[in-house]
Amino acid sequence: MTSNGSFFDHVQYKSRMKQGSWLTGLITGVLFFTLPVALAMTIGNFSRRYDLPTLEQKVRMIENFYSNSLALVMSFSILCAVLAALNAWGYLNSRKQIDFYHSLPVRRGALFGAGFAFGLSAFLLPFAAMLALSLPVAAINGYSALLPWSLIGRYVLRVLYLYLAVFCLSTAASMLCGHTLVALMGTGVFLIAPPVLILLINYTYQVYFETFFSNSVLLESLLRRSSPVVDLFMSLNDDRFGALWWGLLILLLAGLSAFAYVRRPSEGAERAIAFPAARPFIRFPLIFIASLGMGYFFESIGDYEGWLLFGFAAGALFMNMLVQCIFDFDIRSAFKGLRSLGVYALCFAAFFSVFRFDLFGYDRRLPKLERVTSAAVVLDSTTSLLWAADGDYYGYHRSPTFDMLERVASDDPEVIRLAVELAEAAVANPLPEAPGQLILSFRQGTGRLTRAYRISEEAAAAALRQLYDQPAFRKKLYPIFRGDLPALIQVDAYDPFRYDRGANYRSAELIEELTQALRQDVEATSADAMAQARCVLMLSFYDERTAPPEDDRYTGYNRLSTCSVAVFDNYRNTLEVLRRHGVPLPERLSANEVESASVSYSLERLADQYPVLHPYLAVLPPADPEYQGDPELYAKYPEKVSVYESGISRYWNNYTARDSALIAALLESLEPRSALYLNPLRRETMALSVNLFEPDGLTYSLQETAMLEGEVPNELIEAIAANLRETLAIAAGAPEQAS
Amino acid sequence: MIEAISVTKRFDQIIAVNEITSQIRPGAVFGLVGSNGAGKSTFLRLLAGVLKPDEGSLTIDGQPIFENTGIKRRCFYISDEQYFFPNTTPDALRSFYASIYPNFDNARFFHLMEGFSLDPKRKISTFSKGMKKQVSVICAISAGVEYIFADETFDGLDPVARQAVKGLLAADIAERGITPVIASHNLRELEDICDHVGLLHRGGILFSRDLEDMMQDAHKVQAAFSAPVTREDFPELDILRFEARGSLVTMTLRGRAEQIEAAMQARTPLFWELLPLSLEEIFIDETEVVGYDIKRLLF
Repeated sequence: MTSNGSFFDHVQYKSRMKQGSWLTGLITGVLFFTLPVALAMTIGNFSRRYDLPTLEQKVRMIENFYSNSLALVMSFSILCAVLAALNAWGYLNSRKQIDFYHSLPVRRGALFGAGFAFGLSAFLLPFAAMLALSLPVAAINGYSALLPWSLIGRYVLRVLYLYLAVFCLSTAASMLCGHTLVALMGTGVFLIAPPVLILLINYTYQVYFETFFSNSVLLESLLRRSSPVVDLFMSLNDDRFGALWWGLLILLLAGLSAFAYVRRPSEGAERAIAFPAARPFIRFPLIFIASLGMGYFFESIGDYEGWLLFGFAAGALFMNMLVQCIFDFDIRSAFKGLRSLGVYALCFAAFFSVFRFDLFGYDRRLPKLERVTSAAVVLDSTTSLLWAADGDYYGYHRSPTFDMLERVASDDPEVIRLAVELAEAAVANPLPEAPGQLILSFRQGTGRLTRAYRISEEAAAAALRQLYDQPAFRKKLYPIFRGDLPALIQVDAYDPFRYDRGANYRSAELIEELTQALRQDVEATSADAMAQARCVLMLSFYDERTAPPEDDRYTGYNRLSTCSVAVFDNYRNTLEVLRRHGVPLPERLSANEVESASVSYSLERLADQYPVLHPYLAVLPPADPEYQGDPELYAKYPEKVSVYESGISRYWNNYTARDSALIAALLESLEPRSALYLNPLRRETMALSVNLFEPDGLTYSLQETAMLEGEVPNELIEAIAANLRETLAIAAGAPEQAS
Repeated sequence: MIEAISVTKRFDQIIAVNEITSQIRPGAVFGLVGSNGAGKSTFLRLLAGVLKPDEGSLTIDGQPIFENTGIKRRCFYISDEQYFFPNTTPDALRSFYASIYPNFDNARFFHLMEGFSLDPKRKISTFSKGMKKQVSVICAISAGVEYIFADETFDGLDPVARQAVKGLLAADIAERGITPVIASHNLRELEDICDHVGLLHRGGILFSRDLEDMMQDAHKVQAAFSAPVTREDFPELDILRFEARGSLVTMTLRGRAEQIEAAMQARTPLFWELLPLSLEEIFIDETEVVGYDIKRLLF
């Protein structure tokens, strides 16, 4: 007689290990080649490639090996977890085997414990052994001191979590199902269905609610929590995974599986679902996912709402047929459950109507001014400042994340009032086609109301001016005011026009004075002043966490700083601090540093602003022929000049400026793009873009610039007009040449 | 003692065992007979603790069987298709059972293996069906348990092996007072070994009686009368089956021999004789009474 506890029986465990030795052997073999053998080969190849490798190269090689091979092991562990679970619980699906095991004088809890322990051992023992075996391989080759223990530890934890989570999910599926193939499908459903459902629901919100603001942080978080595979593989990029969540879920799943095992009827073997009562809980969620998924799929192909409804119906019917056939292992059951499917269809119609017809007034909901405790307002022009607060100032106009909205939320009554007025105006006059986006987030008591409205450029500009003149709004907007700003230890000051001019400073006094001065300047600068401001210097601040090593070479904006700030020519306090500490201000870019400027312009847009270009647009046919790219359409407009004859498009054309006077005029109107993103009151013109080229044509030391709206120099317009005139003349004289 | 009180087991809409009430006394061989689908295997699986009754109670010495390791340690279940681990040998199986059953007798195991000319080191997967049955029986007997639940165990055994198994069971009953419960269609085999028989039909129990009593209580009469007679002419007899061909009558009936003799002589037949009934004939007649009469489909 041997130990026979309630939840473990070592005789059963030994027996299961013996029965599953083929799986353990297989895993051991694969891991043997993936870890010790691969390490020995990698080191061998590395030694042959480098006669005298530097320490850094050695460290990088060994780190790369472990991160790559353990990432591979992560993928392999998913397969192993499913195989181990199916192997551990396969006997539950055979009447012959279940008669044998359940007639033994062993408690079911102990049988479960033995199977579960086998499932864990089947992978974890070979993994631990092969990982351990790789260490002497590294030591023999002289790498023991360079082993990246922290990296190995992180990856081992990930492998462990991933394996346990997938094994527990597969175990839960095995408990629920009475057939190995169905259990395999069940595992797939457990792993895939939750993220798919989340994405479909999110998509439904996006499609049917005009003002829905997709909370990307929440969405990512939900997706990561919904499937261990999603979370663990995303963690390879950002090095964080929900260890606590998965730990709790693993415990919960193991507990539920043990409970289900004890309660599982032995007659469940060889049925599709061991617990008949669980059928509706499996069937209807799957039908729901299939309805939504196929509906959107058909609509995307057919581009008509009728196809959407067809997809909904087809998805529900198809999934019902599939599930019923699987439940009964009988294709004749395909049309079973049609009555309950009818009830489902009614529920689904009610669900869909909520979105399709906005039954609960999602898009029309407004905050109550007296209940609003804080409001966050984000316009397209302010998003870059929000990203800059995370050091990522070069972020274009990316949609803000939900935590950014939280950060810029202001409890200032005037900001709240303006925000509520903006919401009321947007709801009263919805502009679904407007180019701009206005995101408003209100906190009302414990609730939150967040909406994204479309807004015209004029309305956005007006709203921004009103808001910007509220100091409370500016304080929330600029990263230098961030309440959670860590202790800064370094500042990089660099030329916004040129890549190669900059310096870093670690003077605590300078950093302190700079931050103070920047705060004063931002507080003192009105919207009108910012609308005229020009950038003179860029600053990037670093804390302990983000600061590069002291001997590291200056690398400009490629490094993610703690926060980035543009210094404008009207920041008097800041400029004074810089002068006092001897931080030089770079000179503006001069014409002799630029050999040519390539101007890409939209004739249509430019002609809108400059009547002198109207005649050139007038000779071109309307938009359709060119837009559709069909030469035959041009035949309808024999009196017009086609793009094929002249090379002139009503859309985008190129002009290269080489004249130094013209280049000098251009430079006066150009602002570094990086700085432009940090000044919400200034905008780039949408009519043209300029690329600057240096005299030698080989170095790329000039930063990207953008033409300021309303400041396109007349010289450029005249040059473009002359160029168009000349081109048209050539086209008229020798069309075959022009084309 | 095994006691079943109103035991019911359903599989979805099918009632596999329907309110069975019976007692199986210790030290006796209980034969479980019944038509196909009568619920014999299900009843054995309930006894073995594989299944849990939906209703009623099933106990051994007053204790429920399901999830009761103490009771299950006193039982060994041989299913109709016994499972063996892949690539296992009888010796490995012995080792497994010895670690589970505290009274497992290793010496007896090897002795019996030798007696049945089975190689303990040979893979069971290479054994014939009958040899596998022999291994199961040897394991059951060596396990030192008090109750052996055997489902169609004689099926596939050759006559010599059948006799040997019967002998083994008889010896263990005599020496250790074990209680085998044997489900089988082979009524001839059960007749030789059983003390008590339970007849199942469509999930319910038709009767459960001592075999000796049953044999004494069931008879076949062949008689010839001067004038034709009908079933109604014998109202005092419990007739299971009545066949009359002219004046020649064949009857299967329940009751004491003396009672039947008196009834027959009272009608002064030209000729009559009382014949003993085999268990198979009793089975056919009893199940026919409750409507199980396949041969009518054929004739």
